[in-house]
Amino acid sequence: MFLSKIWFFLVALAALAFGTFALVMPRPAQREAAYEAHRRLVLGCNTVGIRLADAARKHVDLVATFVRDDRIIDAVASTSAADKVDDEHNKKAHVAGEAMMKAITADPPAFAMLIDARGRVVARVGFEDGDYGDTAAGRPLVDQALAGYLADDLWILGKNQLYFVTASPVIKRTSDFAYTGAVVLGYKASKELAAKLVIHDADEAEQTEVGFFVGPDSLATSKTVAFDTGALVDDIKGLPDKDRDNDCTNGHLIAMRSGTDDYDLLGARLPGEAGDRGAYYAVYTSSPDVSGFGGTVKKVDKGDLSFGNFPWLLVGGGFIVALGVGILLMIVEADKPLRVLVADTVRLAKGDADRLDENRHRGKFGSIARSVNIHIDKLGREAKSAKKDLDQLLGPAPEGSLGTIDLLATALPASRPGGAPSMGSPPPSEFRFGGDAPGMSAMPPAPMPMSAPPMMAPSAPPPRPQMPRPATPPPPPAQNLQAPGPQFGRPPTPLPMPPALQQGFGAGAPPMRLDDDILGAPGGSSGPIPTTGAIAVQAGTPDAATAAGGEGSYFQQVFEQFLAVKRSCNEPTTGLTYQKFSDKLVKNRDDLKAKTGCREVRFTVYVKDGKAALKATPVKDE
Amino acid sequence: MTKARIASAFVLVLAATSTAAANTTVTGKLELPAAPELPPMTRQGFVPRAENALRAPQPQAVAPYVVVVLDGTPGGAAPQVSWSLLGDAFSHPVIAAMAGADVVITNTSHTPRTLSTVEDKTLSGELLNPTGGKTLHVEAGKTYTVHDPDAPYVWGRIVVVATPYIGYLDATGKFEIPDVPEGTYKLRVYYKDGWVDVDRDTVTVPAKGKPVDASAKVASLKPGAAK
Repeated sequence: MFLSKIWFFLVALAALAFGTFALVMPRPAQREAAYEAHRRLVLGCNTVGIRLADAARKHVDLVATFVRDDRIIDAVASTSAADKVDDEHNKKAHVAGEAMMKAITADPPAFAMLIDARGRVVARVGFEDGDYGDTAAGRPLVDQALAGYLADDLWILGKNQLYFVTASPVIKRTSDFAYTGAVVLGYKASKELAAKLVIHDADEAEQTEVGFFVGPDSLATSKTVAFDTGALVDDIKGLPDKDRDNDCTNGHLIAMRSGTDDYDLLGARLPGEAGDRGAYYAVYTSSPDVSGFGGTVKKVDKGDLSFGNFPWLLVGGGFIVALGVGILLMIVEADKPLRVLVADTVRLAKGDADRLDENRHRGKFGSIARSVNIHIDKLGREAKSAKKDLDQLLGPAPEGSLGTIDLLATALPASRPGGAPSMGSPPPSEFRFGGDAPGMSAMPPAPMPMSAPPMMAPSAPPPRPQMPRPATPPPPPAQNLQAPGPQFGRPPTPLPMPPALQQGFGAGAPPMRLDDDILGAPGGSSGPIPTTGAIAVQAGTPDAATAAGGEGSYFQQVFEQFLAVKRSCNEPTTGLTYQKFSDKLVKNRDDLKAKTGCREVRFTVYVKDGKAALKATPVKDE
Repeated sequence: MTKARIASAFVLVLAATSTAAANTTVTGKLELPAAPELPPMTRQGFVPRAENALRAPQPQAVAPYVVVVLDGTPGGAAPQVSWSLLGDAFSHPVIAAMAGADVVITNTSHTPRTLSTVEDKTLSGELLNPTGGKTLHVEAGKTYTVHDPDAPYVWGRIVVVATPYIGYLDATGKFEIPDVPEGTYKLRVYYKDGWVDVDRDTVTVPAKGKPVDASAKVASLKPGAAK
């Protein structure tokens, strides 16, 4: 199994390496995509800044042109001389302003403001038209215009309305060219203006959107998207104040989600008065789709998986090689040794071998074989002990005369390892073999459902299969006078049945296995008697005897049978008293109960080699 | 904007207390040094400012930022001073008020303003709605700079003096201080950020008679040692 483990480790390592590679592989592409998105946004941001500056220059030129209109000059100059701005001044200036607005057709402004030399608003056109007379001087742009400069600025008017404004001085067309006022034109930062600033890629596949903001408030965007601008505002606040011209470069790419769409944003502060109040513009695009492993997988199309673009042969070949090597190693290291072990255990069960061959099995299978052999040795030692107990009770019994106990004690090796295996037959086993197992057809049908001998599991005996017990008292002893069955190896030696026994136990009764309790023969009345060269007389069952007259009655019955058999064998019975006999039985019964955990012990009287013998058989619970 | 509001827009009312009408009026003209060029906007737009092709730009206006004060024996209770906010600018960017006077700031524009004082929290984000007023009680020895944090260009300064005899320049540099009692006064001139030196120290006002000429020359607009 070592090589198999190594192989599985290598396969897992390779899978880990490929998995890591698959997860890491999109990162460079993702980084490249993010870099490209940032680069595109920086470019777009700068482009928007340039376009806004260019528009400001055009607007300055425009206002400088229209302030030369005589109606504008006259309206403003007439008010500058007055102490206050009245309705007449306002109407005159308003008419002049409207005419100017109508004349600007190419890029019409949103509003115009006419201011006299004292800084008072003479008229407003397009924004709060009825409001006039207030002082606009003080606003930097107006001060610059009144001083004679052309300039631009950004104002926030009303409720967060952003305007790009330009101003020009109004100069009298007299010899002294006196400054007589100023005109301000305003262009609103509207959705239309933002749409004009949208940057389209060369292939029109993607476009960079534009939006104008004041703090967290979105004023106008080319594409209506609901942003949570908190992160963008924070980034704007972190831009260096002394390097406002490079906001697009110094800013950070901000990732935002709007609904189910992801966007990348880059902001830059707007200049002028509105810039001081937190106005800025931002360019944004949809985030690149490539995002991690999932995003990469989504981008895979059929062409990527075609035979021309993907090494299917290499991948398939690698898979087959990995699978083949794994299967081969499993066969060599697991399947084949397991089959060998199974065959060995089958031989053990069939009696072709009395132990497992530990040298044929390696590794864990060798451990299994050794464990099985150790247990077989243990059973042998326990059987020997039981045999010794009976020998002490009844005298040495002939070889093979004690049935199950005798078989276990003699068939198993005295010690392990290295001891010469006994050539005797194996003990009954719980193993069940199929009918097609080699050599099993020779087995008699009766012993097949055998359970393990009770003495093999003293502490926790396995449950016995339900067997019908005879409802009647134990069969007559004559039924037990049966030649031994073939499964115990030695050919039985039939002995002549004493007449007394034939009468007592029922002559002509069908033969009964001597250890039917152990072998579990159904009904206890069929199957051969498993004795070897012995005639057995079963003295009923302890339960039946107890029911009839108690334990003493059962022992008395056994005693009488034992005396009868001894006499029939012409053995002396002098000195054999019932008291001594029953004491031995009690002691032997208790010992067996302690060793095997059996419920009761059954004693069987039989003839072995012309001598009477007694066998104790544990009776397990049903 | 109503006519009444327009009328009040350019008038800084110095409501003197019960000074006798028989007092003398002090007039004069300040000869100012060449006005400095208007500096570029602190926060310009997308393009730098450009001069027009017809005429050179005008210098910066100085007169609105000048206050003339006759400093002498205090003449009774401090008069209330009205100060109008005319839209994007105060009627006078710089005014003087006698210590202990109440300066009533009135917003005559249609734009609400939020006013604060820079030096202390005498005004701290006070909302001044259109046509609304806010009173500021001034204390001796202080200068109050009032501004709107939302519109930094809205800016004005109150200089607290010990006299009620205060005058302001018109576009030509002339000033007039009415109802000045007999006595000798020290002529002081304040410009934007501080007191500037003049070539005349005192003005003597007779008990009754013709207006007294208190013309003087300002050598430099930079704050000097004058106190």
